[in-house]
Amino acid sequence: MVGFVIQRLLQAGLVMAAMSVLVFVGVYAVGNPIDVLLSPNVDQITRLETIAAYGLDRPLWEQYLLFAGRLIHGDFGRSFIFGVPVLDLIFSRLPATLELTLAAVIAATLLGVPLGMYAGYRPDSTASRVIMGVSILGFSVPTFWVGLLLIFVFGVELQVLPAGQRGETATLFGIEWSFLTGNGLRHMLLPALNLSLFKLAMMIRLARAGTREVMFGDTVKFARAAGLRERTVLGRHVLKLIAIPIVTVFGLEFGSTLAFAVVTETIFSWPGVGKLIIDSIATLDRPVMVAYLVLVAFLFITINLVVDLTYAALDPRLRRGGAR
Amino acid sequence: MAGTPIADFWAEFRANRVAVVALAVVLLTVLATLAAPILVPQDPYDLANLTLRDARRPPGYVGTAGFTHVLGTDAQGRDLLSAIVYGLRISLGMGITAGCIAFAFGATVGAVSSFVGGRIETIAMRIVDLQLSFPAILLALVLAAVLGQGKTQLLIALVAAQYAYFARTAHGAATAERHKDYVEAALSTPLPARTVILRHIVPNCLPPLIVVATVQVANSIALEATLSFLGLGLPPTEPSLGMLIANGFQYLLSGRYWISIYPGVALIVLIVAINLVGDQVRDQLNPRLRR
Amino acid sequence: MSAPAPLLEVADLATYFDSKRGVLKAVDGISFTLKRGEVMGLVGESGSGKSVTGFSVIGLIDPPGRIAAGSVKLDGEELVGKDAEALRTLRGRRVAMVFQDPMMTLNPVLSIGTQMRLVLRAHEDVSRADARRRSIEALARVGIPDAARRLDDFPHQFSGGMRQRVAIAIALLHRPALIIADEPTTALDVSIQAQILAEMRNLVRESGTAMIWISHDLATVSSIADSIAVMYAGRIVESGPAHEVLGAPRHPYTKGLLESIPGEAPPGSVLAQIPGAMPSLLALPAGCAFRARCTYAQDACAAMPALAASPQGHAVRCHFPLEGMR
Repeated sequence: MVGFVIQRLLQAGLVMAAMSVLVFVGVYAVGNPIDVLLSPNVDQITRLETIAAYGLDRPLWEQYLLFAGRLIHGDFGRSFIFGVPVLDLIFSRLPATLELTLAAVIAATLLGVPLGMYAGYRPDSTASRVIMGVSILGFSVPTFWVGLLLIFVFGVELQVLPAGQRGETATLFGIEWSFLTGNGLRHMLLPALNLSLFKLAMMIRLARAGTREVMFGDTVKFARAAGLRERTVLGRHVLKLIAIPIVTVFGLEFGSTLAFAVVTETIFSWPGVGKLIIDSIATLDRPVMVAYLVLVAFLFITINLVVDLTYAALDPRLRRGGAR
Repeated sequence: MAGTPIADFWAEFRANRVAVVALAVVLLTVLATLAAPILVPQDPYDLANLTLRDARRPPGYVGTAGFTHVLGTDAQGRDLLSAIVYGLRISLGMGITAGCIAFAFGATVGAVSSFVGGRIETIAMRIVDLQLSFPAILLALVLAAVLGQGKTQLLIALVAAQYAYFARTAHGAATAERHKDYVEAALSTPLPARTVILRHIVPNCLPPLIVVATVQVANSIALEATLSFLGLGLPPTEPSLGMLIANGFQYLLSGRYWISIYPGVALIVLIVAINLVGDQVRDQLNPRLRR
Repeated sequence: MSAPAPLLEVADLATYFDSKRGVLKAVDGISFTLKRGEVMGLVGESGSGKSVTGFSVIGLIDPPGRIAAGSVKLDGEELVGKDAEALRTLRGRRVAMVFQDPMMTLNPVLSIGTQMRLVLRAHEDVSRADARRRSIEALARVGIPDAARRLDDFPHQFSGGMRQRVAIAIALLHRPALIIADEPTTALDVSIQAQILAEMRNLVRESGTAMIWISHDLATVSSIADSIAVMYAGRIVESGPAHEVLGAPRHPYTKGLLESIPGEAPPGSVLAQIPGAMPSLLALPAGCAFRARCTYAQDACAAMPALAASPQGHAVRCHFPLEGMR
């Protein structure tokens, strides 16, 4: 187990290094790096000072080491638009994105797994066909379009739910959260629903496919032959058997949901990191773009690592390295 | 039981009525976009045709040009039906082009790395896996942001976001075929390796790739629409469905739903239809689901 | 002296599977009885309907399969037509089942202890501690050393033979009156096969449990069964006391099976084979299903022969039964 963890940590470090090279090449080396560091309207002296300070007159590999060094110290520079350190800016927006994403992924899992298991358990029933229809729609229909419909139906026509902004927030651990107030929760409902739909479709498919496969297997036959109730067969045997891919996807999808939050946040004017990156692209606020890229890459690698380790913890066959 | 493989395939396909309707929708859409100039009442991008007097009129409005705007008009007084057909043309064109390039590039990467083997295979597949764990939308977003706006840039972003699926599939299929006894046997005969690859391996790798291709064309269209909606897609001179929807978004809040909703409906119908066809093809080609 | 009522009485049982290409008659009218503590070997090649017979008895035929006709009586109680819940309370408690491959049947992600507790709680309201105690007892009974410690282990931590012992221990948890063992030694190494075989023989003898031992292998059946039924294409073609069927086979198919066992032939001689393959169950020919492969077949075989029994209970379904000689 220890060897496994070390191996995965090394791998993650390697991938992170590769990603930083990619971002460096993509943003710094291809364009004129000074554009990334300074807004175009500073004077010539500051310009030359910065070139010297960041070592832009040195060879490329040396520049990369400097770049990586700054990354490790969390120095991403200042936003051109907001004039504050980029990292502070991103961290101030992160809670809004995190709570939205978590709400969406948890809702998708809690709803999707039982629905999918039912669809896999009774594949020919009408309810299962409806569930699968919803899942196909959830897969096919782009997130931004669902968001528009939700705003139109609940925000404009019915006028029952707010269709933008975070609403009232309350402070916990010195951070503002929407889910702690009734008004904030109401504001969260539509965007969270919007964001969760794709994940819901995916969870349904995954749980259904897993259940169908397991139901035909000998484990279920043996459990039934021992007289277990169908409820126990599904709740203990089947759920545990399909849990591994679901946990994997839960983890991986948490990352991609963070990415999809870009779309949802734009539509619902939700002031999270996703909205920030879209705004920064529109205003060519490059330090923010670089920081977002590096942080997202870091996040993804961390998530992959955590999923790998959870996987190992869940599957006894992996955990003890196949020892007999 | 009798008949060519294609006839058999069609016979099985025909049994699923939903898939047949979906296929008809896809084919009709393709035809309609090809014949767009003679089908629609107005060339939506000839500014001489447009007057602001006709702007934002609801469906059924009879405009100054004398014909009925079945789906209403947009903020510039453009006939929405015409704009949608032209938008479909751009969306479909982008989706298919991006899908084909990604297919060719991805399948080559996958198949070649499977055959070359060794370190090149390991590195190539490692990159592909890494990309697969990275959401396509984010990759496309980043590329669109770094490369700027334009058709070529958008195509690069779409292909970069999708080729990995083809590469993974082709690599898996090629590796599986490569180690089957019949290929080993054929390779040990004096037949040139090229013949073995073309006759045996390529035909056996095609089915899974075709399935991926249908799904990815639909995904390309959705991705392009999303990017255009976010303002990172095609330039305003080539308004795809995503941009039509984005342009109508601000009017949605004031109740002028048709400017956004109808292009959206067209987009959804197209994507769902392609996915339904893809689902049926996948079920038919997947031996594990056969019983 | 009147015979005691049989434990299991199967009469004219027919199990069909509806498929797109027609009705598949997996089991087509079989009858047999089983006394308390009796071990019956149910023999046939794959697709002969022997496993489906086992599942039919235990009430585990899923659609598109269905029991089309016949009756299954356990202790005089009719099982065919009982509702799902009534059948469930029967399964595992009065009739248990052991399968071929314990690697496939045991849940790889639940510990042995958990799986045993679930089976206990399916029929009894037992505390966690009680469940643990009884599980340890059951494991010890089937010869698993250090049972208390191994209860928290997962299936993959056991060897193949030990896994099958665990499966048997689970089947014995409720001390059932009947065990259906579906090829329980086929997936094991030959040396372990013999161990498990001996162990099961002792276990059922000690506890007075009846057993249906389903196998394609006459050699293993011969060392455990009191009686034998040979199935071919969904029907019983020969049945009777084990020594009768093995010693003096009367159906050409049984004779063919016996002659293809390596141990019975002189070393170096060519093993006999039964030519051809079993006909499709979707399109069974009229008459004796074996006649296309039978060297003794004549025109009369185009009509289905009846199952005719001798006074010793040795029954054969053949127009031209062999004369008890080998």
